[in-house]
Order: sequence, then structure tokens, then C-alpha cells
Amino acid sequence: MLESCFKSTLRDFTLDVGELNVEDGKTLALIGTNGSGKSTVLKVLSGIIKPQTGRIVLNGKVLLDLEKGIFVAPEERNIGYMFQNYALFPHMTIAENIAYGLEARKMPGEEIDKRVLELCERMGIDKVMHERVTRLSGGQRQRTALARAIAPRPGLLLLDEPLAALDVRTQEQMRRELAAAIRSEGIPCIIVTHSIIDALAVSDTIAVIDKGSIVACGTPEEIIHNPSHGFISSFAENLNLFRGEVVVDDRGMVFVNVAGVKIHAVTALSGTVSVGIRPEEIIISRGEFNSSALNTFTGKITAMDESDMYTYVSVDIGITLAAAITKQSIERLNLKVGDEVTITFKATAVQVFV
Amino acid sequence: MSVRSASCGPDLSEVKMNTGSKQNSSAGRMLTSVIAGILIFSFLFFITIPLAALFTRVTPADFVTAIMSPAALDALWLSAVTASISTVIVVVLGTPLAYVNARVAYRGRNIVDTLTDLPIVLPPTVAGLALLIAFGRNGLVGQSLGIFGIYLPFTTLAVIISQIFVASPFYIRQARSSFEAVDKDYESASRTLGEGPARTFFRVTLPIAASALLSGIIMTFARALGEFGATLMFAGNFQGTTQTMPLAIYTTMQSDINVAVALAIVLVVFSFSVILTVKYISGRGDR
Repeated sequence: MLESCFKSTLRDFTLDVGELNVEDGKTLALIGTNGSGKSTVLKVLSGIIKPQTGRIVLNGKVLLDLEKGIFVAPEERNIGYMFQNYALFPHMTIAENIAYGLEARKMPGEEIDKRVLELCERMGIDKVMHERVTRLSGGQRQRTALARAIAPRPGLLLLDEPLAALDVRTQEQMRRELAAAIRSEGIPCIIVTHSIIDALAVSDTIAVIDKGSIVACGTPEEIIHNPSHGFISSFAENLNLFRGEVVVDDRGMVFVNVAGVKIHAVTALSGTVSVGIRPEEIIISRGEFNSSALNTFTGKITAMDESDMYTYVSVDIGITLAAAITKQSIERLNLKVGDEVTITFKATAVQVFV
Repeated sequence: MSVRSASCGPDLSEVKMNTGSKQNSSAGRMLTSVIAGILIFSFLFFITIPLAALFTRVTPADFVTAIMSPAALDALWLSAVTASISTVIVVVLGTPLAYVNARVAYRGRNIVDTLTDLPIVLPPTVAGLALLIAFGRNGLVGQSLGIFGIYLPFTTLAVIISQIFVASPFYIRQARSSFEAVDKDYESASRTLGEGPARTFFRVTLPIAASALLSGIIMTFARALGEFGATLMFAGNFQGTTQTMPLAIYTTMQSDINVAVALAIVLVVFSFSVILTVKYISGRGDR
């Protein structure tokens, strides 16, 4: 159980997240734009940065209490920290990286070898464990960094943008693995991300951070359904994010039922899921056209928002989907609010996640 | 020429509009290459000729005889020993300073940096004079040392001090930038994994910076080996105690030029290998 409350003055603003508590086995996602102060929260918790005022208690042990002059050094905190870009030691092998925290704790050599092998096997990196980290793929680096952070059985796990350095395809798989790994540790975990999908996939609570303050906090459901804060609502709109039920019809077609709208999707998941359709993947046309895409709906344009590159055209098909359309296409199709249009997208363009 | 310009659209129209100036510019370009070529080759020639002259001055047999002469052997041995010792001292004293300057932003860091860089641009005779005045019999420090019966000038220790003074910036500059190049996250990661600052430095920072530091060490050793002016003024020119290779070259030039040339050849070959090694190390260091 982590209990914390601190203030730290940064260059442009004061980081003041109020009370930040995470229970054992629970994951908090801190989501915000670059420079919102989200990584600084992790640096303060781990002791890399000393805040101006504050108190941090982990499992009953006081790590920071500036009123009483207590500041426990990072090496004494027993916190697992997975850095953005992983910060794997380039002069060591995977096994040496994972063993590093165990050696620091003066664990006997045999036990270190056992623990390192166990983690490598669990993460599926046992075949490359004696390779230098500079020779690894993005996914292998990510697994090594996670293994290194959890190897000493820390009391708190901090993950800074754990998936950002991976390509999109690897991200999907790692997101699932990461969620499983966090759950199996049974310790409090804070994950910092700018990706709402990562936050939804792995966290029990989402806190939105902006200019150093928490502006919204709730379960993933609450955050998506009541996008009170501009940052999240921009995500919810821009990603066409919904919750729905997976339905398989008698012909074996897989749909996600979102408020009565049946969206074709490709997924092995079942039950209640989140779906996201990137606005760039949605085609708007005047009338239906014959194509391989499974999802075709008609509806009225309810809003048109211009941004730098695209105009976001909102179409009400029972739910409101936003499509990103270039200005030339808007002119060519002469689109206006109130027009009835057809929207088309492929089933593979629908991202499904827990 | 015409084919190349025709292959790119806008250029083509330019050619049609103004063929004359196009020809002028291509002739101009040719002239530029010729001039650049002449300049480059004259420079390389200028550097190579004197070095080549050294190698043609002595026969291999003369070289062996000269290098085996007592003056040459003494100088070789003294140079190797003093340059090694001064390099070790520079590394031990300079590493903490380089690390602090790389990591801690304190008031006056620029002043400290400038001070440590100063010997690079300072004429070695100024360094020698300064050392003599500081450590001489009536000097700022020399006076107090004299009380304990310690007298530095014109000793082997003075050779080492001169070399440290003149060669240290080569290591400290390089070490500072190599430490700066080590991502702070590596150190933070080591700390969160349970190692304190000192072990973090030796287990993480130092190994990651190692190849860059090695370049600095090699350059420092080479500079210490070549030290002449400050040594001559502060340590004097005594065979066996203060007469390093550069001083021996200066001295033997007037009596037995073969010895001077032989020592010079050793220094040229060594310096060439040093720079080549450093280039190789820093090339490998680019990840």
C-alpha cells in the first residue's frame, strides 16, 4: 500500500497531485501530455527527485517526511522503476541487468542465478539471456527492463511509458503481457503514459494529470464515459472510444455491440470490451459503395471541427463516430452539418481491448 | 553535365532560359575543385614531407645504434616512466573534478572549467616559469617545502609535475564530456535497484564512459610524453633524471644528430599510433 502527498516546484509549474494512494495489487495510470509532470511523480516517489514538501509511506515504512527531516535514499526504498527507454545497462547482458538489483541486495549467487533464470523463462527471454542488451529487439528490451525492475521483489512498481518505445504490433502483445505481469506481482503499481489505450488496458484507476495537478480521477469506465476533462474528451472523440459487448452470431461473425450499434471486429476477446477506431481509418461517402470493408453505416453529420491537418467530421449512427477527412475531400464532397452520409471502415481497423 | 540537369525539371527550364550562365557556373565549379585540390594536396605534402625526411635521414642500422646509445635509452626510459606516472596522477585527481563538472551545476563552474583548460593554450614556458616561481627555493610553496628539506626543481618529480600541469586538460576535458554523455537514467536505475552513489559510479557510469575515458587517457599520455618547454624550465636538462625524449632530441641534435632523429622517429610512430587508436576507440564508441 502506497500513501503519498507532496509538492515539488518544477520549471513551469508546481507539481501538486494531492493525495496519491495505491493499494496492493492495484494499478494507477497517470495519463497526461508531455511536460504535464507525470514522470516527475515517479522520480519523486523513487527518491531521484526530492520534493519541497511531502510525505511518502510505503507498506507502513516512511520513505519521506520532510517535516521530520526524513529522506530515504533511492537505493533504500525497494521500489522497482522501469524507465522510459528502459535505461538497460549497455555494458551488461540481459542476465547481468536482471541480476543487478539482486547483487546490490547481497543475495547469494545461486539464488540470484535461480531468480534470473525463472524471470527470463517467464518473460520468454531465456534464449537470449546471455546476449548484450544492445543486440535486443524492442520487445526483448521491454521484457528485460520489466524483469530487472521486479527481480528484487519491490514494494512498489513504477513504469514510465512502458510501451511507447515499441512499434504498434508489438505494443498490442506487450500490453497484455504487462497487465498480467503487474497483476501477478500483487504490489501497488503506477504507470505513466500518454496513451489512453495503455491506461485502459492495465489500470484499475486512471488519474489525468495536467500542469502538475490531477484534474480527473476514476475507474477506466468513469473516465471514458464522463470525459469531463478536455484532455480525455479529446482522446475519447479522436479515438472513437467506446465500451461494448462482444457478440458472435450464428454464422461465426464477431461483432462488438456498442449501444445497439453492431461493429464488425477481429478479436479473440469476449464479454465487455473497449473498442477504438482511429478517425483516419473511416471513409465518408455520398451513398454506399461496394467494397471489402465490413462496416458500413449511414447517419447525419452532427459537427465538423477543423484541426491543423484534418477536419473531424462527427457522424451520428446511433453512436457518434468522428472521421478525419482532408479539406480537399470536404470540398469535393461538399460536406455540411446535417448531411446524410455513409461511413465505411474495415473490421481490422477496429481495435479491441479489455 | 547536360544529361544530369535535364533529368530534373526546374533545372531544365533554367538551362533553356540562360544557357550562357549555366556554362559559366559549370566551368566555375571545375575551377573550384581544381583550386581545392591544389590546396588540399599542398597541405598534406607540407605535413608529410618533414616526417618522411626524418625516416630517410638514417639507415636502419644507424637507427638501431643510435637508439641503443645511453642518452637515447635513458631518455626513452625516463619518458615512459614519468609520462605513465603523471597520467595516473591526472586520472586519479582529474576524474572526480570531471564528474562533478559534468553532473553538478554549481556557481563558478565555468571559471573552474576555464582554469582547468588554461594549460592547453598557455605557452609551456609560462607554465615552466610559473612552476619554478611557485616551487622554487623562494617560491610560494617552495619556501615551506624547503623547511622539510624538500626541493622540487631540477628533479624527476619536477618533470612529472610539469607533465601533469601541461597534459591534464586533455584528460579532464574528455572525461567531462564522456560523463555528460552517460544518460542520467542509467545512474537513477542503478540507485533504484539498490546501489549507492559510489558503487553506481564504479559499476555503471565508469564502464559506460570507459572507452571515451580511455581516449582521454591516451591523449594525456601522448601530451605528457611530448612535454618540452615547462620541463626544460622547471626540471632542467640532466641526462637520466630530467632529460626526457623531447629534451634529449634538443640536446643530441647538436652532438649526434642520429640519436635525435632516432628518438624523433620513435615519437612520430608513437604519436601516429595514438591518434589512430583514439580514432578507432571513439569510432567504436558511437552507438
